Amino acid sequence: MKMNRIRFLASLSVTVIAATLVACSGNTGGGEDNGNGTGFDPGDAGSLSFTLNDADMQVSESTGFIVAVKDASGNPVPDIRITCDTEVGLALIEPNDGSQVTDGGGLMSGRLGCEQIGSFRVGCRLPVGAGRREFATVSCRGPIPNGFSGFPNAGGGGLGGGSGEDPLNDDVRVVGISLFDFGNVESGFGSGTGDLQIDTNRIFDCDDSATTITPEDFFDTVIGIDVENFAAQAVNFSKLSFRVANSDGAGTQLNSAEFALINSDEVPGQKSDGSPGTKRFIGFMTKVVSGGKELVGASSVLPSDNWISNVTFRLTGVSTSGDEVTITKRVAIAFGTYDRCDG
Amino acid sequence: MRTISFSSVKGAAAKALAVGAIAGALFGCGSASNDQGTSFTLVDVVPGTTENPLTEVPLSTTDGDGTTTGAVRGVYTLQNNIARQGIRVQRINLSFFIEGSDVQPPSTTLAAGAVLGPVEQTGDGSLPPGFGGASSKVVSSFVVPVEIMTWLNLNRAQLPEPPYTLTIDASVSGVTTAGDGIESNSFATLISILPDVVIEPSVPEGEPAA
Repeated sequence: MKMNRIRFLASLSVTVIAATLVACSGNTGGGEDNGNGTGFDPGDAGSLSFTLNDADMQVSESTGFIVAVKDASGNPVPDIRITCDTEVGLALIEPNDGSQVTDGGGLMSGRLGCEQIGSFRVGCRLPVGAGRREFATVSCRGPIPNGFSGFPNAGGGGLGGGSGEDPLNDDVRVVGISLFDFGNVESGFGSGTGDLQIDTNRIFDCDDSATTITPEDFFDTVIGIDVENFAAQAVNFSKLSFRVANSDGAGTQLNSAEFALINSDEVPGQKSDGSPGTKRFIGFMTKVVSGGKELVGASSVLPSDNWISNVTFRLTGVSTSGDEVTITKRVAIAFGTYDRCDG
Repeated sequence: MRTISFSSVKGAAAKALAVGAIAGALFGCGSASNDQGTSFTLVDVVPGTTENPLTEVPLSTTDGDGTTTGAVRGVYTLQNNIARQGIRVQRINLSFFIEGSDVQPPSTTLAAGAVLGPVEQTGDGSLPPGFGGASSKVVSSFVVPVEIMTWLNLNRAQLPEPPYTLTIDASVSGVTTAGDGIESNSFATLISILPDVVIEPSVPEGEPAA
């Protein structure tokens, strides 16, 4: 019995010494570090959730949403800032500045509105450093109701483009809007005063003679959009659309379809001296019909009353690198009967 | 006179041998504790950069999405004091402490890469001349990585109201050219966490902002 114990201890010693020698042999090939499972998994830190009340609406309808923040234990996180944005076509009615802090229950509520027909994304995120974001899709169905003029003071529209900011949309801009008569033989295409007025009612006899009739100049209205490009690449604009907030003097909004420019062309990139590339783009806005003028896309003649309306013009093009570029400009235009008998 | 048998001597010797062998295995391999950084020293940890040290950071920011993570960068100064052995740095080990908090941020580690040359090459060392270069190097990494900033943000309800002080306790681990694992001394540094929801005095309508 005693000898067996001695043998056991002796063999144990030999084994341990051998193992020690192997382990301490100074093998310089050792020490690999695969890093697995050694760092803190941020997925365990907490969560952000986004819940949409209604993901399928008609244009002009709105819906609420809830953003909830929870910590690692599933408890609500109050007073943490949530930032949200939407794609163009989906209005961020609340918070219209895109940002709010959570309440005591770790919740933030908001409201979205459908402005255009299509499918649009909305995204909300925690502040930089908190590392959480959630997205959802809202489908907006047509038709666009008559009189719908969007959601006043709503925010959003900055989401998309694949990066935090789209430098092209910052570098390419509309610097001027002018209105001209198209086909005016005397003034020529693209000339004229450029005043933001549209004569809606023709004076059929400008002279005082009872034997002759001299009608007032009355032509289709074209819009000139002056664009500056500070980007390093050219942008080819080909499409125009506009929205007239008050198209009849009675508050009816008109959204035109997207139609081709008269002079689809490219605005060159920034020049070597630092000055921008420039180009004037021309598109139709009204056409002369029997009894007056119609806005492009409208089916009724503009009334002869005098009124002023905000009009938002939207140019769409493609950059040399293939990115879609959209620029807008809103101006106030006066509609009414103007005496242009003198040209 | 007491007689000592041969078998009892053998038993005692075997016991001593076994105890010694086990003890040697536990404390051998040259992996004696480096708690004080005698062999491998973490000399300094500076949040920010050496030129622009950071002492205060906001818990989060609204701006900068897509351009910054919110993590706090830092600079680690490392020193190898072992003659005739280099050290290949592998990881930065970080633990955190917030005074007065019921819960504490989790510990984490970061990959780090640097090779420290031996402090001297004299003698019969097997390393080629010039191995590893300088025995002291500066490694740029993070002192509060984004995973921990995420935790601080999402678990803010369990933490003191900012501003508060976050203690960062760092050590660095690596492998000597002999293949032995080695960990530096720990080094503590501080950073103040500022509130991110700013409450400014409101300006009455019509009056210019301050």
